[in-house]
Amino acid sequence: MLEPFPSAANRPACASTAAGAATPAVELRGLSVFAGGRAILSDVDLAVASGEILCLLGPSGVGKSTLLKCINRLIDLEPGLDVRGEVLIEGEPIYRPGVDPDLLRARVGMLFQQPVIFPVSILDNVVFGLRHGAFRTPRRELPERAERALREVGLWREVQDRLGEPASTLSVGQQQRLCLARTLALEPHIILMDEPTSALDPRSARTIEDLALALKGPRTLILVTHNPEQARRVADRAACVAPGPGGAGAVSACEACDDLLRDGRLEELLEGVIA
Amino acid sequence: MRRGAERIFWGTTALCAVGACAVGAGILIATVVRGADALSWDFLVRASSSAGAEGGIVFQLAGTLILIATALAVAVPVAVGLALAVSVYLGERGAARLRLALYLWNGVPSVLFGLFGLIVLVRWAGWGKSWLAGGLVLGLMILPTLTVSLAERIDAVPRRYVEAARGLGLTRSRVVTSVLLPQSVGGLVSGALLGLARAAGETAPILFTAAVFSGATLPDGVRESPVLALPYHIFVLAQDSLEPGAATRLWAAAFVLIALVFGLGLLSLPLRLRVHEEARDGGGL
Repeated sequence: MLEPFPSAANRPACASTAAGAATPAVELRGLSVFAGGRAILSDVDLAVASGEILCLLGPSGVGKSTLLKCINRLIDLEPGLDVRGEVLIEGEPIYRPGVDPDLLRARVGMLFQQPVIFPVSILDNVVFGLRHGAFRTPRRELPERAERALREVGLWREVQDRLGEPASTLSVGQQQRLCLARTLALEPHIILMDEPTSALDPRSARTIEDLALALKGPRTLILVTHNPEQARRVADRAACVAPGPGGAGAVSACEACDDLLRDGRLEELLEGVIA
Repeated sequence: MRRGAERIFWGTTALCAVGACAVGAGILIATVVRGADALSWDFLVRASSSAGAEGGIVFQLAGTLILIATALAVAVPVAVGLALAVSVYLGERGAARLRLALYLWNGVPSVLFGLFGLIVLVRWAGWGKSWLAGGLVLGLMILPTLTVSLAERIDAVPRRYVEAARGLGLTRSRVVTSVLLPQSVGGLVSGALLGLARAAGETAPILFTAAVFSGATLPDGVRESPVLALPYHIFVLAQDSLEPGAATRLWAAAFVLIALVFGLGLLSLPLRLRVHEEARDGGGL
């Protein structure tokens, strides 16, 4: 399934990070996704610098979630999809034989639109990936790792006295932070967020945005959103995913967030490709 | 016009519900009234004598409990495997075929299971009439009920749980043991109940394989160790006995059988709730 990717000379600007010096945390080279011959994503080149927040902006249904799922190979779960091109995580291609997708998914965290809470206690939710996942973590480390993760998302003070209670007793905003803690407990370098605030009230949404800002640096974040304001608040750079010829999603621009959102440039980009 | 239609619909529904309840209540009342004279604590704890015309039903009750416990012990693990095959491991076509097979299986008349047990277990394997043969046959009979009930629950687990768990790096088999099975255990309990109610009341499957009318107490061993059983006891008394004492005891035994199934249903209700609660609270650390 691996296609030769275009040479560096004729690749668009999206394919390189600002300085172009260090290895990008995530790099997509000519990534296309086909469903039974029809392209959902077509020839996406994108490089995400280590430590930055990159926002993917674009209309719904354009393939932003699909793009995100290619980065941790959650796309493998969808039957009948054909992924071509290359995805590199910290320089390592991940669509090659010998790559264990379960280990990869433990290393590349993911936060979904709706908080997904397992019907177990708050504590058991936080350590769910540690306990059942690809990295076997010694049992005695679990409480400490859970506390660290809960502190990192600012939930520790709210839940420290009720760790044994069902996680479903938390508010939706708290649940989303719990999901973030559950991912952070695995200590990923890269976190993918698929419209993580769309189910939340504005205040909880701001909390998640603030957390995203606090997490970047040691971690690289890729955030899908359809809200340009959110991108403006959190993103270092933003990429516009828009339907290209044939309706398949493609990255039409990737630049500093302020540039992309200035003076209706985003709207222009979106309308341009549709027309 | 529309309200009229609404009323007719409501009335029909209510009539059906009341009718069904009335039939059930009628049977229950008839059973209690006719068996009342024989019902007592003694009836439950004493062995029958004089071909069922005197004494109690303790060994029939014990035999039935042994049979359904064996049936469950056999059917539950196999049903878990089959349900996972249908819902998780088989592709769409394989799953559809297995599902069809299970529905057909469920439609097989119970006497055929009895004959199968007679030929394979009693004769060919040389067990003779045995509680194990009867339990196995009953287990085979209730297998599709358990499987379909569990598979439906597994299918009903929202996909986002699977995605979230895989996203945390859980392998497929870990998702099965840590996400799918804990969340669908209620389906297994419901299926077990439905199956068990049927297994407790069936006569045909145990007629040739496990049950005798008299001369057995508790089994020791497998070969030639038949049991007494409630449905078979009722069957024989209803068919053969003209003794008035036997007729009363027949109804009393029928009431005990109904109460047993109903009681197991009630017992499993808190169990089902508790199982849910456990799934919710996990094991703690």
